[in-house]
Amino acid sequence: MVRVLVPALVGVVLAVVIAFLMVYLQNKAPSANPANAPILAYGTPAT
Amino acid sequence: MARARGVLLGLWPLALSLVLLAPLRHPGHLLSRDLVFVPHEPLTDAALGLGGAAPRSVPLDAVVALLTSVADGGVLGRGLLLASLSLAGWGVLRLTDGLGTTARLAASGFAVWNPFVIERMALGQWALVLGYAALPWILHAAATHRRTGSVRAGALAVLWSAVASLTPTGGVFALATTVAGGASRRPRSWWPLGVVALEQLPWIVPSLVGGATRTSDPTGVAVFAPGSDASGHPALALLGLGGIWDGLSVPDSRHTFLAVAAIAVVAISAILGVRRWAVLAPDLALRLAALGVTGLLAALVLTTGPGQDALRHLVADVPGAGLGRDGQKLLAPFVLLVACLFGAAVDVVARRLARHGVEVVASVGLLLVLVPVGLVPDGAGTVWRTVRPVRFPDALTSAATKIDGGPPDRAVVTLPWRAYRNVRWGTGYPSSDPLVRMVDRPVFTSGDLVVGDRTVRGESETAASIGSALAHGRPADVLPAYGIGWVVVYADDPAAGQVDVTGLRRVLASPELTVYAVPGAQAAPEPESWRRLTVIAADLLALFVVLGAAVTAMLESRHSSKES
Repeated sequence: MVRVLVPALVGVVLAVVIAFLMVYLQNKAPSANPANAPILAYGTPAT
Repeated sequence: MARARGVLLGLWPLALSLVLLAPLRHPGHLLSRDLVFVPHEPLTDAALGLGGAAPRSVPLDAVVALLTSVADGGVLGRGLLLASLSLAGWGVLRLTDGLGTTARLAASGFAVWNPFVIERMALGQWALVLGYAALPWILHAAATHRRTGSVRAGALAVLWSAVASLTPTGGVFALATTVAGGASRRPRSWWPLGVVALEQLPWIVPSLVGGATRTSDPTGVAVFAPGSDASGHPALALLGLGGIWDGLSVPDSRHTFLAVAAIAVVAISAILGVRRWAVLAPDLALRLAALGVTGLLAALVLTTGPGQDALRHLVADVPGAGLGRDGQKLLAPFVLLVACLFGAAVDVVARRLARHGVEVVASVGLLLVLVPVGLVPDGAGTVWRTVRPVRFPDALTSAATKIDGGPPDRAVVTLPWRAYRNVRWGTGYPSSDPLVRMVDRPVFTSGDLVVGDRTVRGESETAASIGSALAHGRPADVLPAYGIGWVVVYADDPAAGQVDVTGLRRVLASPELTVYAVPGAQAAPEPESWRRLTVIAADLLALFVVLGAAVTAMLESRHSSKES
């Protein structure tokens, strides 16, 4: 029973995660526009 | 069979490295953040640490300069970046020899794909990642030498330490790792440490005689202190293997629950994997733990007020203490430790599942092997924006040729006066000035780093003087006294129009930059002969040490293969 259930469960988890990521990434706006970065700065504080 | 399995295992970290570096398939050269590979880098005084700036990329610049004389910097950069990532995974494979296949896949993948490596690569600090990648090899070789007395293993520890010692930080890691792996009561186990110490001369000597101020701006301590993420505190970010100071290098996923998940994975790996790891590698487990936890504690101290205050005093008063101001990089040995523990934890799970059959082990193993990628799913995208090659405009080469064809004793200033540039033909992110590495003359830029709304002063007194003079007078009036014979103005800089070029003679104009000759320039001051000779002697000594170790390792290999 375990031999069937665990691989199936793992397959479902992987499929859901990959499908979610594909849709999420396609619909997500860039978090930061490089053009908005201060052009003279070496970096920005993390938080 | 075992050989085929070894090859297959080695393909996993290589595949992850290729994914992280996928943009390298595009033509061009690397120029973003701290990542700079120009087509050909001349071997200048600055590359040896005699340029007046703190020797942070010494002897790295000198080695890259020598290598670009035989290979284009574009090709070299691609090879070195790929090696930096892959070697980390392959090194952990070596350390985890004895774990099951799934566990070794998980550990080696973790060594390549984790928040620390991704954040550092996003900042363009490939040499730091190369130093991190050398650690498992140094540890393994130093431990083998200690146990067996093998001269070949001692020589290998010295050679891998040379790879790490391309930068001062990597050199400190190499010394610590050689001690961790090789220390024992037997005197014979200590000679590799002495030799590795000699490998540090190429950056120690310039830091003493190179002409830069030996102390750093204490403002940098707060600016480069570990940063926070969704975990809520820099200390927690460090425990989750992140916490870089720079917001642009932090993957977006670190601002989600995944930052907390990373801490959980580190904790579970430690709880589940520690016993298995100790049984598997009784000789190395405690030593690697001591090394990793020391690095973690040092980084954690810098998240506290008293820790930062203490470092601020050190940076202001003690030569070379500026090396420690970017505390998050001290995590490198801890990341290595966590990768091994993660592999051991996966091994424990795989063994417990074995009674249910190979299908269960394989499917759960697949899930576990992918955990490192799942913890930073946007890792590739974060690194890609830095490693995307750009096409250098022809004007850069023309400018370098023009300047190198002029008088040999004239220095160069690039304007507007900045440490970093955001050129229109670049990646969109700030980068070092490529001309600094393309021209066979001293090139002065501002040494002051602007981070957010704060400025960290550079260590070069000459650059500071030139910057001050430019703030108070026309370039044509103030630059001749400093031996500046050339001014390069980056035309696409928003402040380019404010540069007063009256009195300068234009010798080259392009949409990207304009080169001016400075009439009446004096000869630029050169480093005194004794400084140059001292640094070159230190470099040659280190080079002979490395060559000696390479020859010894080869001869010993041949000797042992004949015996067998």
